[in-house]
Amino acid sequence: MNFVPHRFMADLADTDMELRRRLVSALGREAILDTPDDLLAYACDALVDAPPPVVVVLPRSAADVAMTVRIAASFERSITARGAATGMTGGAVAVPGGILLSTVRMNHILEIDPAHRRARVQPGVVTLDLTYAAAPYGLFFAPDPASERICTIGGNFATNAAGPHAFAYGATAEQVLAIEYVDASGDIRQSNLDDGGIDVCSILAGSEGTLGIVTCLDVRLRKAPESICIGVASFPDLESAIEASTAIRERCTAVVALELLDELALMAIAATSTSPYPRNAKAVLLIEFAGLLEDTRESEDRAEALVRRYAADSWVSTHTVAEAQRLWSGRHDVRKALSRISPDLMVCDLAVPRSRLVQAVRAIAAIAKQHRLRCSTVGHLGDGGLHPILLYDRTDIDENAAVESASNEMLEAMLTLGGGAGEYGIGFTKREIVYQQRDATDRAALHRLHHALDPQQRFNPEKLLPPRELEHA
Amino acid sequence: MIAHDTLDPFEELVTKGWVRPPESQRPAFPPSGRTLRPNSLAALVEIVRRANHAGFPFFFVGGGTRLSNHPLPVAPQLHGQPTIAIALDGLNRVLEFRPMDFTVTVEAGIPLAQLREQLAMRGQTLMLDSPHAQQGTIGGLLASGYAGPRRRSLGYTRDALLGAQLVLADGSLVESGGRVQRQASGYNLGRVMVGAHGCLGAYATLHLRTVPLPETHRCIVATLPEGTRSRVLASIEALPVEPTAALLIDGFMREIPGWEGPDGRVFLAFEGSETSIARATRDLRTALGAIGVSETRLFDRDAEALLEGVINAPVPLHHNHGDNTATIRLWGPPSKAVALRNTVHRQLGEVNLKAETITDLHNGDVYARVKAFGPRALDIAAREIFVELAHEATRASLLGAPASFHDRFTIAVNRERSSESLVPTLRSHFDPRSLYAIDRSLL
Repeated sequence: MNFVPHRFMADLADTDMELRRRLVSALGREAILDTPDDLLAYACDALVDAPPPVVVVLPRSAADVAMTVRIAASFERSITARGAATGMTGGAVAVPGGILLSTVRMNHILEIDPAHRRARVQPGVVTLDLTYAAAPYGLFFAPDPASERICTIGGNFATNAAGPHAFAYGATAEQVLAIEYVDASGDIRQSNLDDGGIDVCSILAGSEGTLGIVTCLDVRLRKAPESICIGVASFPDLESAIEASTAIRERCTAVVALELLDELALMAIAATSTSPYPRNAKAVLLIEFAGLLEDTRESEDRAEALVRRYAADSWVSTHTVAEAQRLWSGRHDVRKALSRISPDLMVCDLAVPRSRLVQAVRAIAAIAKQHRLRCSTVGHLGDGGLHPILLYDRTDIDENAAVESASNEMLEAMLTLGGGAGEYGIGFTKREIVYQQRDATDRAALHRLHHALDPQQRFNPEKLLPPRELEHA
Repeated sequence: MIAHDTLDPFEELVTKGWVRPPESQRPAFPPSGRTLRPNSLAALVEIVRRANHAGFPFFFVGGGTRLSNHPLPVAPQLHGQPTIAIALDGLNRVLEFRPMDFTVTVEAGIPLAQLREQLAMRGQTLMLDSPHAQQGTIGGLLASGYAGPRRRSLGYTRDALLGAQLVLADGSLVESGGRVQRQASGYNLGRVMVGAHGCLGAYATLHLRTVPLPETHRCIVATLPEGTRSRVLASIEALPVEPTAALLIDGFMREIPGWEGPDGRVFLAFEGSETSIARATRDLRTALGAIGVSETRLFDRDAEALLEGVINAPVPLHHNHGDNTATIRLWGPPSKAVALRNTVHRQLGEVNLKAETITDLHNGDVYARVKAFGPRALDIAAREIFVELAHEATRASLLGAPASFHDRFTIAVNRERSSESLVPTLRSHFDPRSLYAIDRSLL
């Protein structure tokens, strides 16, 4: 998929060299990448290809970021901040002539405060690394998007990423209690939720780097549960699995994850290795309970009774760590398994009200069928998150077009059902569909906020919202 | 611009019955001014539009629980017109409750307690703390950004907000955020307005996240013998079952039951399954017994009411302790909370005033109440100490005090808040005519 920006600043080449010189002079040679090969490596996210940035900046500190923003302003260039670029909507690629700022070197866990259940981290810290660092204190960081082994907390904050446990513990926005950020003037600002007044954390969360660049975050840590239990139930169809998940969500107090795998995903997993799931199942529900041992046992018993009531073909559960990891492994590796039966995958990220889950999976299947695409649907049923995964061959022009159309139609279908885009971001590719769902007054209000914080559209332009001049055209 | 003395822009709305008469038992805001109570969303929008057109400064009132003890919001530019209070307590309906989705849509003027009752019928609740939940509205709670003692366990007030319909200063009605549990990218204007005290717009309707109602609540109050405090606090931190609130209490005997020990009392709230609470009680009693704390009282049936009482205790609904009582809330890191509490007692003790304190062990807040034998004695002895204490904390606010405290306190303590610089910028975009009269704490 290609990112075709609205603004193409063709006459910028004359000043590119001067811009690079200024950045090298201010931040040091080691902080700047400007060879064609290096720039090409930053010309895409996990799905979207884009023109390379004019320069890549690798700051180490908030002061470096602030300096970059000031230099960018003096050259009238935009800045796109980027974590690990695991997004799939073009949110982390620069516009032509723009600067790409990677937080890869801002990757330090600055402090873990066990008494306060907080950690202070730089935005480039890999998400799972924080949980590893907090583990000796009996704590963990709750957000666990599928890419947690490589994605960064700054990127999670920018897209408000979630993961399987979000319905129990909240998404990234709910974990961030204080931030340091660089504003459009190049000033370093702090905001702490406990200071009262306007909560800047909430303003910047999910803004995909369009309102400021976060340079430090204070995040919540949670006490690790005494006991974890994993249950796996197989069902004759997706609908039964979804209905069982609703009953479990309402009646099992210790439930913290409710993951759905469909038949195609199960077949792919079974084809690649020793599947932890029953053969020939049409749908599997993977359930995690966490808390005191008494609570997880009670929820486990209740869940078993409930899945049987909803026609489950089988049920297994475990309290051992090794077996729990084995049962999770299929879910964690579903993309890897599908990629072995298809040259390319397009992972969509959608959200619907839980009560519309059955309609949503039917709509997804119908759209895939209409476009003659194979589609596997996995999801986070706790809060209505769905990931349809379209199987295709990107060298096939027709399939490419079909995948793009199908993914857009799926998003539109979810919007009709009262849902929308999920945690992979809106970026460039989903921008128009999401934006068009808002009426003119709502759009104007969003632009007011954007204009208030980034009057020159310096930060990650053309993402989330169309450029303002288009709105008034 | 319509001159106030020649034409009342709201008269037509009153005649049409869009505006309810003020309730007699509720105070008017401002006391000598005009309070308008829209009875529908359309009426609210129309009132704001007309106020905007006529150039009347205005502010929004929820249940009035905060304004009872605080100076009224002020209009930065008075426009030569009287300030109007728009009371939203008439907008108090549950519009849509979807138990299966764990979401509810309400009008912003609904009191938290009223909503909790309706949600409880389907086994759900909102994990929000609010002082005076019977009267305080959810819109007001969000606008104030109140953070209660359960926030470390259950999250902050903002976390419950999925989306909202907002009325901006020009009367435009804006929908922002979403209605689904899973919220992702995009600007959520509803959350932008959390803690803004209505200076950017008013909440009209709210889309909120609900959670399953805990099976059981239990509060435990333990009396602390001399020399046990520090060991008790360490043992609470080590409990396998975390309390949702953990407070060290000195005084407040009238509002909070339990005998006061030489080292005060600890108050713990637990929520969860019956088995987990039984385990928590057993573990706690074992730990405290080993330290020498033998007296613990359990509250089950009335546990929720007791927790509410503890939240209410330092936040007087009206300044009804007489003019010789003042209460302050101090914020700080949890690791320094007990030290801050000790400073409160020492400094007030030096001028022969006895402080009553509630120290939030999870979050670091210290509530301090002091009573003198007369208003002048209070003014002389405590006012300057409050100002000093406020400077020792990371943040401070007065919860109830004579007017003289407010003037001195505001000037002395109103140092720059981290988000302060954004307020004028945002206001210039969301309220370009500066019509919202704003809370003094934001000035």
